[in-house]
Amino acid sequence: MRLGMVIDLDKCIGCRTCAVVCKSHNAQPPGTWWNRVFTPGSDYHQNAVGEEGNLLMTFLPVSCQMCDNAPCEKVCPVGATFTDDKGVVLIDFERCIGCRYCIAACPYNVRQFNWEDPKKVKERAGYKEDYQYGYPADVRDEDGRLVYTPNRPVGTVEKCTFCFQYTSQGKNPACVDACPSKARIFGDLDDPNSEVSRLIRERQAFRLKEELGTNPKVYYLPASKPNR
Amino acid sequence: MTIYHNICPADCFASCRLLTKVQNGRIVEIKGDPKDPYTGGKLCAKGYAQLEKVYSPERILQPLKQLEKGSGKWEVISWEKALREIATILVRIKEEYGDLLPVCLSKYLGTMGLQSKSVEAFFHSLGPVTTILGTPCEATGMDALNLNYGSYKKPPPEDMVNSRLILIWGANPAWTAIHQMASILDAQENGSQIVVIDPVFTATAARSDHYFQIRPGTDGHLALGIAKILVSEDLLDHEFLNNYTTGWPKYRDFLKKVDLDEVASLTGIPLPKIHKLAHLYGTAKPATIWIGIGVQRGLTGGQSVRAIDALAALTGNIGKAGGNVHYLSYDQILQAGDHAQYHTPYQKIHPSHRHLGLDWYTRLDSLDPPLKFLWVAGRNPVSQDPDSTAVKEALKEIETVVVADQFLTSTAQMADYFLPVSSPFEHEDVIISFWHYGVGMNEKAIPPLGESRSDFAIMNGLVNILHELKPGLSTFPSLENEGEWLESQLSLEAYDMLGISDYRELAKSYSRIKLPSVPWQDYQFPTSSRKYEFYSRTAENLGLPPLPNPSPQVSSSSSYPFRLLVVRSYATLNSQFYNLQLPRSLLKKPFLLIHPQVGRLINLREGDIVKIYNQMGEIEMYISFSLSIPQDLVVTWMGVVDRNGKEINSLVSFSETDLGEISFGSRGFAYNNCFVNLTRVG
Ligand code: SF4
Ligand code: SF4
Ligand code: SF4
Repeated sequence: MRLGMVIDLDKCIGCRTCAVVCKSHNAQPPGTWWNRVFTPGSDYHQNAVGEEGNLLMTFLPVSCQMCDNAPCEKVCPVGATFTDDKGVVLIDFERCIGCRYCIAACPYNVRQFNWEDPKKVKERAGYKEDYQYGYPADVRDEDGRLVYTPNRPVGTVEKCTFCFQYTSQGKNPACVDACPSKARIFGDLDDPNSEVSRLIRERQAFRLKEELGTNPKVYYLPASKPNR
Repeated sequence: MTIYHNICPADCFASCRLLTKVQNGRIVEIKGDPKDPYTGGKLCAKGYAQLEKVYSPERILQPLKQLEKGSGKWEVISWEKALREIATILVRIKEEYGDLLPVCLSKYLGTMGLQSKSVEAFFHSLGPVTTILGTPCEATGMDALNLNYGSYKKPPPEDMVNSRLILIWGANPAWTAIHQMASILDAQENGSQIVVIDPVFTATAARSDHYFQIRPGTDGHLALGIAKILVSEDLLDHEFLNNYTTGWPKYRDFLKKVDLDEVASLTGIPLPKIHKLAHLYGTAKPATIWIGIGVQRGLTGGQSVRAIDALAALTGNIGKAGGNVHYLSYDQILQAGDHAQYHTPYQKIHPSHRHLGLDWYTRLDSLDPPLKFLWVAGRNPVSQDPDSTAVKEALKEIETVVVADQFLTSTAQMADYFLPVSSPFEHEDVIISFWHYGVGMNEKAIPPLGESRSDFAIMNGLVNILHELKPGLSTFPSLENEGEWLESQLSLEAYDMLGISDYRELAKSYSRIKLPSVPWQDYQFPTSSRKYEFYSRTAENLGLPPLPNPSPQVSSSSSYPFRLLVVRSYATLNSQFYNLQLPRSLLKKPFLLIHPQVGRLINLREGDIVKIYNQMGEIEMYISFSLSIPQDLVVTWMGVVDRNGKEINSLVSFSETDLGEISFGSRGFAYNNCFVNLTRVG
């Protein structure tokens, strides 16, 4: 089984619900976003790009691309970043030494560093003691590696886990369930009958920076609307 | 761990059902209820920010008294003391004036819950008081539909999937109604055409099949142009026109005078494109039009909506599945208690009340007796009404201002008393969706935080003290809790319709107020002629143009060359949600969008600070270049404050639209009639 995601850019309306739901389910401190939604070509979200008479506006959600050939994993000197048997690239928070080589190596700029204790960052935001968000418990993989904890240790790197806490239970990632446009589809790339496999076959799916040979497991379906 | 059923009470299309997970008395998660027939369990970014809103450090959890309005010198005060002081003021006013006409309520849609209608009920229980009529939102368009049909009906939202063409005129569901956007995209996948008319190339426009960029305020003219083409190419439903309409020949004659070249130059849409648009709409059957709230926010917004709506009559799209016009309906509210109808066309206006229009704050000096006491709940007029400065001045002039809210909003900053209201997760409520008519119960998931109280509990506390100080002053019923109040807030018919015997069953029932799935199928129009009226006698009698006739618009001047358009953002809702980390980090700084060409002319770069000014004043914002907007338009979000905390509406002068008083007793605000100039700061 190789878990993968398809994002239909024809359907994405740029609402950023997925970014917010990812942040809250995964307890990301203020300033940290595992999942972001851009408007390619514009710094400001939701601005048209192109030129008068030939405008377009598409949106690009970007989280960890779950590279099959993951540069981040290769450079990790302590084996903290690893790929599990379903192809999910994860970080063992008890092994990560914070050297940040992976941040430099990741061509998709999705890794984030905990310069500060996330608890402190949340405190500084002034959240009331009662406000705790996100999956509340530690999650370890079969080999006992700590791949999710609500507050990641200071000095470690974090990123999208394909919502390990849910997907390891056979559920969908939070962003997939939350997308109001049904633009995100999740499933087994190894299964030719899965919806992800079918969409990739039928819809000219592409991947980001394909030329780098990172071989991501996040696929995008191109937006087909006319420019105006 | 317990899961509670809640409903997002925001003034929004979806009224999302929520599942609230509570552990050790604390909410740990809020998510969409997958059983919700409208949302399927999807929320928007704001929905996920509700948890932060409950526990926000900015939430006020104790009653406060301000030593001087706007001074920020607040003192904590007990509920008993606050309510006793307020009750004493009411008694004193009664003694001094003989009645309570100097007392006034300002309440609107901060929450859609029926629980909070106890506030309206309390003020109505005082005998004659002052009532502010009108709505800053949809009044103009409602009147327009009233003139054409004699009433207001719309299809349920799902009916859009039956349309072969969905014409979205001045709405941006990708930002403001994401669930509806999902069904629009579904319809598109099944072969329906999506057409968008908007001054801004929005996220909705970007996903459409055809987009037409229109100059703001010229929607009515475009509709007349389309109508003329429909007539000249005979894309008409003669059977409908001949049998079910009045004034058709007059309208046809009127259309003869429409100059298409002039329409093209007014609207900024080239003539061939107008032809194309007319063909698209005139040939797809059935076709529906969704008229957004923005269209009616101009000086002749009402006539514009009438003209747009008339296209449905010309093409015979009325009374058909997949046809009709989507705007707003109030029929579902008829199933709620009297006080829910306060801001609807069906409100039973108390004849002995003094009625003020939306312009109340511009004419305080002329009032006899004066306004001495104002209670604001579920509303933030300083931020949302035009001319924020004037609203603040008015609040200063009124002797006692009470604001009940969760946060120190810009209106609350002008209060004498601040009363902390509980969040929707902290009291019971019942909500009826104005869009899909679903009715649900909102359970109490946790006790009110701090000393906060539900609107009902606040009013109840005040009533108890009043009864003691001056028995008989208020006839508000003596009730134990909001549960008892809610029991009487749905009609018996509604109980039957929803198949329930107790409102509490609504937590787990997903029924709707049943309204016709295809309105006007019987072609019974409650106008004076009993027909669809192109020519409206009601309008004529009121001295309004009887035919849909949007007269020429005020446009920009050389001193203020840019029209300012203030739109609802995707991460906030009017003035709500700005004070939370999550939405704020999505929106970043308060931005003004301008066309890059304008930036070049006044030597601005992306991210520069610009002064935006007009005769009303000035504010400062960061700019961002956008090709989504035309060169004579600048755009920002509703409810935003500038980098110094000044409200965007301080630039918007008070001006009225052309309609609204038939349905709501007061014309709407012409928000879009705002022109500004820009200069670089520093
Ligand atoms: S939630 Fe869905 S539609 Fe919204 S930005 Fe994310 S992928 Fe796009
Ligand atoms: S996207 Fe970046 S973090 Fe994710 S697997 Fe690839 S290189 Fe690693
Ligand atoms: S899979 Fe989970 S962690 Fe990854 S982007 Fe989606 S919500 Fe975030």
